[in-house]
Amino acid sequence: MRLRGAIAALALAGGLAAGPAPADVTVQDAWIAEPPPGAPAAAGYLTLVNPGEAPRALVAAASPACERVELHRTRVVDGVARMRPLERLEVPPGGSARLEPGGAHLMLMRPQGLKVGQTVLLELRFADGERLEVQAPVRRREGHGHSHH
Amino acid sequence: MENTPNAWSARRSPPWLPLGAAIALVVLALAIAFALLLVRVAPAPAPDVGPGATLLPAPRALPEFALMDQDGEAFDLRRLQGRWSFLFFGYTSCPDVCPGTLAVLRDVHAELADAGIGVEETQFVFVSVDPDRDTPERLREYVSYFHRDFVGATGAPQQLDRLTRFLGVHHRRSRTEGDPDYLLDHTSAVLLIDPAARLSAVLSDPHDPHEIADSFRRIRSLGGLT
Repeated sequence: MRLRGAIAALALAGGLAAGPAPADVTVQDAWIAEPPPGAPAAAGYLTLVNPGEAPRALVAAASPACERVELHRTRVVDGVARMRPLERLEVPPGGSARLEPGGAHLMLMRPQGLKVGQTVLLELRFADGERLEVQAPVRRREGHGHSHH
Repeated sequence: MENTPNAWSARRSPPWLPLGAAIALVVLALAIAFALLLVRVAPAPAPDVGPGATLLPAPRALPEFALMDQDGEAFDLRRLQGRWSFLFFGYTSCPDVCPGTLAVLRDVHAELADAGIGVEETQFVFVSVDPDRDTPERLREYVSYFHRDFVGATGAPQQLDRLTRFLGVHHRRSRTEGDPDYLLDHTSAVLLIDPAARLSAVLSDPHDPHEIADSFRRIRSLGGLT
């Protein structure tokens, strides 16, 4: 009994000393919609999964495949589509956040000739300073399953 | 006290009961008669043309307008005559909604073509409400990416407004004038124009290719112009 208590105390102390290790946010289903030729912006979509106990938030992104990346959200209000910059996308603890057609998305400004079959490196930046790199394939945009939220 | 057997037996059939029952029956009969009248007088329900489609009770003839297509040819009222047109308003710098809707229309085009409804009967027109940035050259590259038969058109703001005001299409810049990467708010619906160049139906967001193709077939089969 005493030994088990000591082990528990040690484990607790060790955990405290190392700080609560933040469980990493993972990225699923990242893809870039192939932009039509001449289009000055491409859209990137992905799902962020937060297995940890602390809230996380995506605040910025970058890519060598374009001039800059902006975070936006489309909303359709009274039949009018409005796209607005998004300051941060919250990923709740134990939950997920989706960047998807008709919703939140990455906007890749002046993409450099992205074609289906290529892969784009995305760097995702979180509010806590963490940076995550992900490879996103360029895919053709499908007509079905397109929805607005 | 009141509650004696005598008082009780006196209340068993109070004099107001038959009158009350009669009034209730009359009211009920009137209500039923009124409801039946309403059903007869009400106009026939609008035909079901699918969940996302709103059919106008009477098609509305479009006004004259003068735009230019992606090849520099005039795009005016005559270009909307003789076949059904799917009109969508947007801009090529739009990365999410516009390519999403055009991908839907690409699939609608394919589904209708598979059903034997081709270019002689339908056309798909992307109208740019961003003439400052969307030159005919840029529109040509953009729309032909979705389908070689797709039409791109734009023009002077006052000519665009003749069309958008009539159709109830909203469009407005949402960033300051000085920003070269300004965004535009714009109506997300696709408008269906009949072969007499009249607004026939509004196809609302969210768009599904199969639903739109199905709505179109239903609207076309309602008779009138073909």
